[in-house]
Amino acid sequence: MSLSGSKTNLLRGLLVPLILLVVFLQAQIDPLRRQPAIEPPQANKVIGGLKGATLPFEYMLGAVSGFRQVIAGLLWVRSDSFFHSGNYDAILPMIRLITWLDPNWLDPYATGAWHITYNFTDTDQRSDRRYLPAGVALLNEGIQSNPDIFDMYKEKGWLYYDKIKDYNESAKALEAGMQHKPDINQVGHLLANAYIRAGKVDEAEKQFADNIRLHKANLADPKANDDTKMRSGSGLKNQEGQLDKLAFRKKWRAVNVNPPIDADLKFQVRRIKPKVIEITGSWNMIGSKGFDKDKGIIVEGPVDGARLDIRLQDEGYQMPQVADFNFELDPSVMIMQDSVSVRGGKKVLKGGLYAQTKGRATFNDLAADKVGVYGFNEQDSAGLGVPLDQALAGKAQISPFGMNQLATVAYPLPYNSTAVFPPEAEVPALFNRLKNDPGKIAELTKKGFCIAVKDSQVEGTFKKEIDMSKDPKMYGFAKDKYELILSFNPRYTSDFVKDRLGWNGEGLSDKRYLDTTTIPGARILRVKIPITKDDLLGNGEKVIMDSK
Amino acid sequence: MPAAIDIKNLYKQYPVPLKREAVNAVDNLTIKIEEGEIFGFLGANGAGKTTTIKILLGLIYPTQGEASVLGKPAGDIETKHKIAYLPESPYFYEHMTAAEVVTFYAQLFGLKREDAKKRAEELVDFVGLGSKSDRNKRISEFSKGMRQRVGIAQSLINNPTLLFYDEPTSGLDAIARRDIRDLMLQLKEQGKTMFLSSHQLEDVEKVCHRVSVIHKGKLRTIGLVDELLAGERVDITVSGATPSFNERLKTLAPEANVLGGAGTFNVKDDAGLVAQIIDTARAENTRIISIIPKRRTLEDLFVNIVGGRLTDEGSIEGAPDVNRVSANKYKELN
Amino acid sequence: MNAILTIAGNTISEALRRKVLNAFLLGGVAVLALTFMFGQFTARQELTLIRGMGLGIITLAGIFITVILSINLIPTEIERRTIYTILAKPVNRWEFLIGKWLGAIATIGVNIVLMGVVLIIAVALKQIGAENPSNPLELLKGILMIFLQMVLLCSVAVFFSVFLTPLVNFFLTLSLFIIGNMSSFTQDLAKTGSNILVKGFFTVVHYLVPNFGNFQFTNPLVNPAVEVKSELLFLTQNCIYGLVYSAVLLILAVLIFDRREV
Repeated sequence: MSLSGSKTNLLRGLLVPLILLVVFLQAQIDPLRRQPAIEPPQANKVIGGLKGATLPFEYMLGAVSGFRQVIAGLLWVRSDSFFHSGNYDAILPMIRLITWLDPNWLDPYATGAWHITYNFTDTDQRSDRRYLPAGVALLNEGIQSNPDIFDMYKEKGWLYYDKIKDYNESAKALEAGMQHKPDINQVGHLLANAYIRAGKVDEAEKQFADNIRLHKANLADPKANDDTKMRSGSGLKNQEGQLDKLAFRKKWRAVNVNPPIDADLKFQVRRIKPKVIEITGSWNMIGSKGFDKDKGIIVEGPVDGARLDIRLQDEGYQMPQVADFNFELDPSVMIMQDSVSVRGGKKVLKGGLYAQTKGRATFNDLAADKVGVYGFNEQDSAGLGVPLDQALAGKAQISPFGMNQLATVAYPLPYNSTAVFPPEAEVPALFNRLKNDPGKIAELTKKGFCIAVKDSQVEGTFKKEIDMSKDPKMYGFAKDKYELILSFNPRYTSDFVKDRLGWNGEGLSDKRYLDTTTIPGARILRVKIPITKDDLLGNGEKVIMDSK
Repeated sequence: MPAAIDIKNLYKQYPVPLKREAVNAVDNLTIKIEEGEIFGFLGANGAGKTTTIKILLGLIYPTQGEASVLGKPAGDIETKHKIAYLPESPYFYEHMTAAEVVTFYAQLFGLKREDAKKRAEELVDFVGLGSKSDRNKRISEFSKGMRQRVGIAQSLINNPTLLFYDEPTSGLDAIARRDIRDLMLQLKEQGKTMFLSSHQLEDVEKVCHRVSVIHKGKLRTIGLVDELLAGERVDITVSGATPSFNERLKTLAPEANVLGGAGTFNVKDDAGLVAQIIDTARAENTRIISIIPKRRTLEDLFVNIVGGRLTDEGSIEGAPDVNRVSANKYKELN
Repeated sequence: MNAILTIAGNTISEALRRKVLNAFLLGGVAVLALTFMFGQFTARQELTLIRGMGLGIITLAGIFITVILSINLIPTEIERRTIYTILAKPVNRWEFLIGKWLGAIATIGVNIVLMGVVLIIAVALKQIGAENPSNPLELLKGILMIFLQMVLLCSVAVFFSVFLTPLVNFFLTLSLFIIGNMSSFTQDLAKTGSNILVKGFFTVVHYLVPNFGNFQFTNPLVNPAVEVKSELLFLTQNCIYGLVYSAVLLILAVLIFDRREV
């Protein structure tokens, strides 16, 4: 014994206050350590797990005894390997567990939501839209766990913008993201564009201005690092350009939308064999071919690329709001969404320039395209006009517009010019120069340029075969009634189309399919066709619907 | 002046696992050792020697009785400045050299590192480990004898007045044993008090002033070595013993052992008997060459007390030792 | 004090020679190097993985170093009988115990600091040229918490080691570590228990079992964007908690060891 009795008693006596101090400290520590930033309450859910997502015992033991992040990391590395092998089904339970284990880790939400909403596809790369509510729910969970960080709002904004195409929801998420020290390049820029697509042009303009202000503030901030400054520098340039474009578009779209074009949408829906349908049709889609920021649309005409959305779904289906992220699907629900672009619309007026494509499917000449020169194949161009050399020799009369086209095609403007045609006064001189330049004439003639001797217009057409027979998991055909929705929303079409149709479709019209109610404030094309199960599954060919 | 060691009615009991009884490792031991004494504590393995030393050092506590060392209760921290302990087969930190080990122990006495190193060098030299090759060796490369020297070196750091040496020569070869014994004799000359526990009879006999025999925890005998071994018999050598002398000797001393052909026999050390034998020899024309009182060996004494012979390993031949088994068992289970 | 420091110093020099501990140290460092293998991820994910896994590996290596070192601290001295020669010197038993504990703590500290430095360097290197780099020195907070966790774990093991065999101690200490890490569950059970007995039991468990879970500070370090409320207070309270609880355990150990026969 090296301790005397009194020392022993002293030590024993010390124990009581020390143990009380331990209890006191624990009571002080508890509320602090259980704040979500240190010990997220969700982490404990892994104990219970979820159907299809339960941790092996040793993982669970590790997770509860201080190795949460390690287990989350291991699962993440594992799910990455599944991703590379394309085993997406295996990833979802892992995402579920990882976001429970480490609710503050943002990548699993973002990547997980992306997997869910983009990577589950049928053989034709159409994504499985039944997963969209789950993707939104996962991002909502991410927001709930990380309400003060912009990232999850940005992801949600992007999902609504790019995939779901609900721009009001997108803007709402991004607006929230703007409250939390956002990366302006990511959040602010997208928000301005979301406003545009939501039809809120003034808000978009304000947002561009805001973005510019914020970028400038970053550039002036002495504490900002080089990376931030570099990004803000390029962001500033981008937004100034966007704001400038917005200004002249606002000005010209107010004018150029008139008079509204008649889209004259015609289509046929045909069953080719069970579970395979074909949608064909035509559509007079007019857009801006040549645009001058100071003068608006100079040349307009049929354009390629506007897309018609095609959606086949259970009758009356609405995307549900899901409170909790759960990756299990209702297999009885069916949604097929695709789109088809309109191509091949063309137009030429008497005395105007067109191109003979001579067997080539398309005519690729950017300078010519910009001035409204279309390519006509042999069939379409029979008797339409004469080759350029012959026309210049007097076999056809060239209209003043044709002269402008010809001058520009022969002597293209500098590539950075914003004008469509050379100044009016220079056109005669250029035309004369061409007439005295046999080499140039021969070259252009050889390219197929002709002068029309009469007017001609061909509507753009579309054709899409949709095969739902190869993916029974996605297309179960469990219900009896379906609806096929064909739609075109000018709000998210290309700018060269919007230049003619307006921000919200002001310049769009259709005798039969104009819809002004589905999306408030927007004039869209929309047709809903009821389809029965028998229509889709029956044998042999059948015309399900013909708009003619 | 208080006794160096004063043990009064000391008991140490170890419970026998799963039984209600207890084994007495030390059983009513009373010993008093004065300063300057080299005290031999003789006993077989498990006799209670180490237990007694551990009690004296405060490593374990007695069940009953008192033990004081240099006038203070056993285990007193102040006393430890003046005492030293060399355990049986000491183990030191294997990765160190002898000097490092001794330095470590020296620092435990509060010596500054430099002083401790100096002291260690002296002691390593003293115990004969000062050669260049030995200096650089780690303990793990040391022979048992060398380890024992390190043990002695560490026991001398504080220039102790009282040393507890537990089996310092056990398990050593003859040369190492002699060297260690010589070291102990040097310490004896320096006037140290030593409590030497051993089963090596020869060492005890050569080194100790006083010796005790402990068996099964009980003190069996204690006394000065000279007294304990004082002759009880006399060797008488005669020449030309006549048959009638031999005849009469048989009646005088029937237990006389005839030791050699030369006519040496050994009888009880009894003055009357020896006188009678002398008279008889004269009467029977037998010439007496020598009469030598014979000193007993410690071995004789041990065999007498314990009833068995002590082996080199420290066990007893011919006397089953229940105590040792129990004590070892206890150690194992503890 | 001299004796305590001498014993502590000796404990360190001996512990650092033990191959089993070096193996854990090397293993820890090696696995830290392995964290460079997350190259297939984006820089941000890679950093998250390195930080999370790194702190986890330090903790795991720390647990093994601590437990294996601490459970044998006293028993080995008794088994090898080195304790006899030490306690025969003017060294109090409590000095011996505290010296051994201090030596173990220092050894553990050295190991954890070495691994921590490797992690910090790894993160700093990985962050070169990254967007919004976080200060890699923030990780020191986590490393400090791991160290204090190990101080407490060492105290638990040393406390048990004065009256239990190393094998029993090994399992008991590890079990206690796991239970002590689950203290948020015990707290919940103490609140939501079905009856007063259950509530009472878990309340006692929650407040009296060493709460190793207090020291889990990985989340804010792995996810630097989260904001911790009262961080300094929390870390300070944890430090005090670890030290006070260790003091309790050491006092108990001293009281038991003082009566112990060696």
